[in-house]
Formats: sequence, structure tokens, C-alpha cells
Amino acid sequence: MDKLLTVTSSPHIKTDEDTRSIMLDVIIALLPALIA
Amino acid sequence: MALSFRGGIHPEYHKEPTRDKAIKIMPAPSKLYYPVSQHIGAPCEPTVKVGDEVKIGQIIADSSAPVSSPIHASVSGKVTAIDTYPHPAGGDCLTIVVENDGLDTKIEGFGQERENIDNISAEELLSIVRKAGIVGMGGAGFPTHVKMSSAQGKIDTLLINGAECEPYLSSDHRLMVEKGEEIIGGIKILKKFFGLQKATLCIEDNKKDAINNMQRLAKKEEGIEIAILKTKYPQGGEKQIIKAVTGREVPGGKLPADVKCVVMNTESVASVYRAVKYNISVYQRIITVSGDCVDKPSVLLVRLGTPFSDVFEFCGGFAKEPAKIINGGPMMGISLYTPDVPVIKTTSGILALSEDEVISVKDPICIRCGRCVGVCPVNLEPLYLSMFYRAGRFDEAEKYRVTDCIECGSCSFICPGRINLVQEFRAAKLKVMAIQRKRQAK
Repeated sequence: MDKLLTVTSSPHIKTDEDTRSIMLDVIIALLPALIA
Repeated sequence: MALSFRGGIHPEYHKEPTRDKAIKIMPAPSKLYYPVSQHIGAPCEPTVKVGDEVKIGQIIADSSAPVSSPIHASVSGKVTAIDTYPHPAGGDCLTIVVENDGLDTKIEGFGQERENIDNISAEELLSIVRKAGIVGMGGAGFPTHVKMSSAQGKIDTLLINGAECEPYLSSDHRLMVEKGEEIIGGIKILKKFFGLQKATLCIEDNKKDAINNMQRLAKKEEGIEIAILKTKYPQGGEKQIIKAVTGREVPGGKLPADVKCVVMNTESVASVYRAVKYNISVYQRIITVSGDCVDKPSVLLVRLGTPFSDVFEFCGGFAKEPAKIINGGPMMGISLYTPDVPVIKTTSGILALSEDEVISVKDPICIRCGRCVGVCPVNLEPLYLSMFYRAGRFDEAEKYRVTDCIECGSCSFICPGRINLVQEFRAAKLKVMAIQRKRQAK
């Protein structure tokens, strides 16, 4: 193995949803307000 | 309806690569490594010297401490070194190295069938379980004989944990499908020991074939029930499984025996059966080898002491460069800096994950969404605990019961800000416990 392995605290998997995707949802939810 | 608890998460389970694969037997490698610490409690002292010949089933390390469990050789051969080597739980540990002679000579009486197992007394059973080196094989590694003797006469519910809620792992699943008789045999022995009429085997509802097989076997016996649990992480946590099946809640800082329950892992129960019926000590175990980097994900029966690197090689090596090698499941497993550590009694799986599956974190930040509160199976408020930890307010962290955290990782998993909450709580717990000890000493 050439590359070093990553060592972190568990858990080693995370949900796909992050702050960025939540903010995108916020923008989508506010789209109707543009028309009004 | 399937039984469950409050909170929890639904990660991607990734069980498909291994769930339908029969258990394969991996031949013993040429060199085996036995760390003297393979359980919670006092580490053992080596009872062999460099140059000694050992046989399968021979005790090579033992301890006189009350909470400990002996370690046995899993091959026959010669002790070539006793030195410190990397341990699968992180750090280094005194390790006995045995060179395999390939003959598989066993000690006398090993594998010999014992007759009249119904006549074994409680004391005799405890001594058999201790001598066989049985510990909680789901991951915690608490010596089984200690668990049994401390719960004896205090419980009314025996739960057998076959939930296996960790993603990727299929070890208990395959055990229930292929060797259900051993589990049933073990349950009968334990039921008699605790003087109970009934025992409950708990299985998550994503293991239909295991449920079918165990229901078929349980029908032939009296007093063995199968409880079907909802597939949710951490369903296999001791406190969560008790809540799901009995509705009882284990108070913070207490043990399952305080609510008259005892929970045991399926592999441990099967080990009890093997020890009692065939005089077999713990010398091999079922592990799952999976992850997107493993060429042929498999469920293997391996000798204890086999290095992870040999196991990966047996599974066809790496399909791509791994970024993480994990001892255990992805939620609670320990990531390692080297694959040159051995399989021990508590190794339920080995994973090799690539960079695609490992999300790295830059500038984690809390947006106060409260998802961590929603998923916490022990009703904590991780966002506040995290704030207190960062501010160094350990008195507040204690008040918000950081010591009740079971480190399941649900909050870290769900956090959209990608805060390593569990990591912070582990540090906070140590600090709070040190403060508590100091207070008690006064």
C-alpha cells in the first residue's frame, strides 16, 4: 500500500444531506414568493 | 408490527454483497498473533514462553483477575515471539506470536462430545464458559461468565441479540441461517441456567431467511420466541433492544440486570453451546469482510489471530486503493492505520472503504437544525453537549448527561454540518468521569 490510511473517530459513514443541500431546499421553498 | 425504540437512523445498509453468501472456511495462515487483551477487563498474562510448542485449544494467556477471560491457541505450532504489536482496537498490545506447523493437533478432549448436558450444575457451567474464553462477541467483549454470574437469579427476561444493525455486516445473519441449531442449543443451556421459562431471540426484519430458519427451529422447542424488530440503527444496542422488546428503559448509568434483563449476542450463545456440548473453546469466529475496496466480499470462518492482511488476500485483495480499514462496522468500528493487526474474539467484521465512501469534513458548523436530537436513541441533546464541550463547560455537559451517550454515532451520521459529535463526546465523557472521580475521592 503506497498511500497512508485515514484514521478518524467513528462513525465512518455520513448521510448525503449536508448544510448546502438544505439551503438549496430553502431556496426552492421560497421560489413561489418571487411571484407574489 | 415490528418492534422498535425512539430515535435512530436509516443508513444505507450495504448488506447485499454478503447477505446471501455461505460461510467460507479460511485456512489458517502461517503466522498467528494473539494480543493478551481481547475483552473488557484485566488483560491476560502469557502462560507460554518463546520456543514452547502449543496445540489447538491450549490456554496461552490467562489472568486471575475476576473480570477476565483466557486466550487459547487456534493452531498448533511454536511460539516464536512475545512482543508488542499493533492491536485491532488501536494502540499497541503485548502479543503472542505462534508459527503454524499446519498439523492442527488439538489438546486432549477438544471437540469431544459431552453427554448428559442437562445435568450440568450452574457452577460447572460458569467454569466451562470461563475456561472456554467466551466473551461478548458482538463487539464489546465483556466476559460472558461474569455477565452470567452477576445476572443469575436477578432477571426475568433473556434476550438473544441477532439484530446486527451495523451496515455491511452479515456475520450473525449467516450464523442464524446456517448454524441455527447451535444458537438454539445455547439458548436452552442459558434458559436453564437463569431458571427461565422463556427466551427471546431478536432479529431485524431485513433478515427474512434468518427469521424463517430460526422460527422453524424454535417451533420444535418450548419457550423460545422470535421477536421481529424494525430495521433501524442502533437496534442492536443493548438498551435499545430491551426497550423494543420489553418496553423497559435502562436508567442512565445502570445495567440491563437492573431492569431484570440480560442480552447476549448470537455468536456468544453459539459459543456457549460449542463449549458445553463439544468442549470447544473460542478459537475461531465468523467475520464479514466487505466494503467497496474488497474484491470478493465474503463471510468467513477464520482462526483467531489471523492478520487482517491475510484475510484481505484470501478475499482476492483490494479492487481499489482503500482510504480506510475498519475493524467492525462503519458506525462504531475503529479505523486502523495498518492492516497488520489480527482478528480477535470481538472482531465481527473487517471493512475496506475507498475515498468515495469516506466523506471528509471541512469547517464543520452547527445550524441548529436539531436532527441530532431527533435521532439520539438515549434522548440526549447533542448540539448543546457539543457547545458545552467546545466551551470547556464540563459541569454543564455532565448536567446534560453526556455520560449516558452510547457512542452509536447516529448524531454524527445525520449532522448536515458534519460535526464529529461522537468524537467530542468521547473526549467530554473522559473529562467528566475524571471530574466525578475527583469529587468522590474528596
